[in-house]
Amino acid sequence: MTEPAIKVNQVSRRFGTIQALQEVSIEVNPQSLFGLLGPNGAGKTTLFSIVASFIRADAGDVEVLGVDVRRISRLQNRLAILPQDALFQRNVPILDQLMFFQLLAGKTHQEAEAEVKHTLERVGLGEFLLRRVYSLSHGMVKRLGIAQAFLGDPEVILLDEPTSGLDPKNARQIRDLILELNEARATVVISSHNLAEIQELCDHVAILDHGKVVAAGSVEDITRSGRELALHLSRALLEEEVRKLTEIPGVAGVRTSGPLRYSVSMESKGDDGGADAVTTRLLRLLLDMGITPRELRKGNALEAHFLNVTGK
Amino acid sequence: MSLKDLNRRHLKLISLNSGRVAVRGGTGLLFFILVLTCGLLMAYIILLPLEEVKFEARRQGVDVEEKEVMDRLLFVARPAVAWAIGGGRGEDGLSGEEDGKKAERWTSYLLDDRPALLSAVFLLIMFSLPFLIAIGSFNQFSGDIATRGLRYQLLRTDRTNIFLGRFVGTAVYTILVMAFLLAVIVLYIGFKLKVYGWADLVPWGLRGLMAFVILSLPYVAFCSWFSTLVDSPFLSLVICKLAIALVPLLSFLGRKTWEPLAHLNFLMPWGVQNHLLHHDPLTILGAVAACLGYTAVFLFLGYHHFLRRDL
Repeated sequence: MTEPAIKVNQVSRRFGTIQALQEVSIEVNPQSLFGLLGPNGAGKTTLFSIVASFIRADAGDVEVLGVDVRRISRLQNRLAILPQDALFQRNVPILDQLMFFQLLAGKTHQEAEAEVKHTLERVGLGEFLLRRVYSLSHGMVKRLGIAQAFLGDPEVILLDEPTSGLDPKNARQIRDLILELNEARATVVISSHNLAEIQELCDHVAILDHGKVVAAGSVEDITRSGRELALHLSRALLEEEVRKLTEIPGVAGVRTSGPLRYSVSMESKGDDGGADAVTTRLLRLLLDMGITPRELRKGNALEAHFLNVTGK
Repeated sequence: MSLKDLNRRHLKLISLNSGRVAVRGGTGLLFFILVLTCGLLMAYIILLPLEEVKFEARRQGVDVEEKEVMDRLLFVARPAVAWAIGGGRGEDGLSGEEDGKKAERWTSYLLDDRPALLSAVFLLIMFSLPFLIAIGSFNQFSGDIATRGLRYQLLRTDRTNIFLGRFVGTAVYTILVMAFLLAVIVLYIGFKLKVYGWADLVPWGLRGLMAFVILSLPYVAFCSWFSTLVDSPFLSLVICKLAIALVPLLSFLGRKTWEPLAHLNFLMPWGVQNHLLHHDPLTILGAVAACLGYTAVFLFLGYHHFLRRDL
C-alpha cells in the first residue's frame, strides 16, 4: 500500500478558549489534488500551519512524506506552502526575495536567478522582476506567493486560498498552473471557499467545520449521493409544478437559484434507474407541463453537500 | 531543531539578508544616522572646550600651551570620569581606602596614560550605547512574526539558522556602524586637534572599538530575546528601551535605600561594561567573560523561545 503524502492523525489545537482543531485525521494520497473546505474559522489555516510546522499541535501527529513534521528540517525543499496572510518584505525587489529562497535551497547564484525568472514568467510576473512588493497589486502579490511555493518543484505543496482576490483570468491561470504541477507528480493540497474550483481541480476533499472533519473522501464519493442539476426554464414554476417534480423517484428537492433558474438535487436510491433516467423523467415532465428547458447542466453537488454538512 | 541543525551557508545568507533588509527597510539607516548623530554630539561635548580655548587664543593672537589647556580640562574632567567609572558612587567610585586607590589608578590610566579626550568620549558613548543598540536591534523578529513573513523561510531553513543568522547580521551591522563612528572621531582628533600622536590614538581607538564590539553583543542578544517575545516591533522597542533604562535607574535609586540593591546593575552588563576600558588585564578579561556570558544567557533565552513559539 502506498504511504500517504500527508498523514494527519488525531490533531488538536486550542487557542485560549477556542478549540481550533479537534482530533482531526486526514490522509492525502501521493500525487493527488486534495481540497480542504470549510467555512471561515473552520480551522483550515490552523491545519496548514501545523502541517508546515509554523505552529505546534496540542495533541496528535502529522507526517509529510513519511517524516514527522517535528523534524521539519528533513522536509526542506520537499514541502512548500502558500501561507494565507504572510507578507513579503516591502522594500526588496521580488527577484531578490525569491533568489534568497533559492540560495537557501543550495542553488548557485546563476541557477537561482534562472529558476526564479522562469517561475515568475509562469505566474505572469516576468516583467516585474525588479519591482518592490509595495508597488504590486493584490493579485500580483498573490501570484508572487504562488511563485515562491512553486520554486524548486517541491513534492508536496500546500496552497491556502490560492485564488482569493484574483480576477477570473488570473484565477484561471493559477488553476492551470496547479493542474500542471499535479501532472508533474506533485501532491497539492488546496484550501478554498470556491467550491466550484475545488470540484474542478481536486480528486479528494475533506470538509472541516468547527475544527472537526465532517466529511472526507473522493469528490466522486461525496457527491454521488447528491448530484445536482442546474435548470434554466422558459417560465417560473408554480408551487404545484414544484411538488410534481419532487415526486419523481430520484429527485430529492427543487429550489430556486435565480430568476427562472432552479437547482434540482437528486438522490440515487438504486431503484430509480440512475441519474440519466431521473434526468429524462424530469425533462419529460417539464415538457408535458409546457415548460421549455433553456439550459440544463450539472450543478455544483459539492456545494450542496458542503451546505448540507456544515449547515451554512 | 537544535544547534546541530546549524548550517554555515544558511547562517551567512540569512545574516547578509537581514542586514540588507534592515537597510532597505529604513531601520538600519535610521540606526546609522542616530548613532552617528549621538556619537558625534557626545564627541562634540567633550572636544568643544578644547576647541573653544584654541579658537579664542588664536583670535586674540595669544600663544597657548596645549598641555596647559589639557591640564585645566583634565582637572575638571577627572571627578566626572571617576564618577562614571565608579557607576555614580561618588568621587572615588568605590568605597574604602584601597578601592579608592584602585579607582584613582584607573582614572589616571584613562586620562593620563591614554589619550584623555578619547577616553572621555568612549565612556560617554558606552553609557549611551545600550540605548542606541536597541534602536538597531529591536526588530530582529517581531516585525516578521507580526506579518508572518518568516513563514516563507521556515520550510527552507531551520529556526536555529534564522535566529542565529539574524543575530549575527544585526551584531555585524552594529559593529560596522560603531567602527565608522569611532574612525570619524579618531580621525578628527588626529587631524584637526593634533593633541595626540597617531601612535597613541590608533591603538587606543582600536581598544575602544574592541570594547564597543564586546559590549554590543549582550545588548543585541537582549533585543533578540525580546524581539522573539513580542509580536509588535513598536512594543519590542519600548520594552527593550525600558528594560535597558530601568536596570541602572533602579540600581541607582535602590542603593540609596539599601546598598545591596546596587547589584541590580548586574542584571545587565551595566555593572561591568566600563571595566572593558580598565588598565588591569585580568579585570578586562573578567569584563569580556561577563559580557560574553550575558550574551550567551540572552541568546539562549531568545533561542529557546523562538524554537517553541508559533510563527
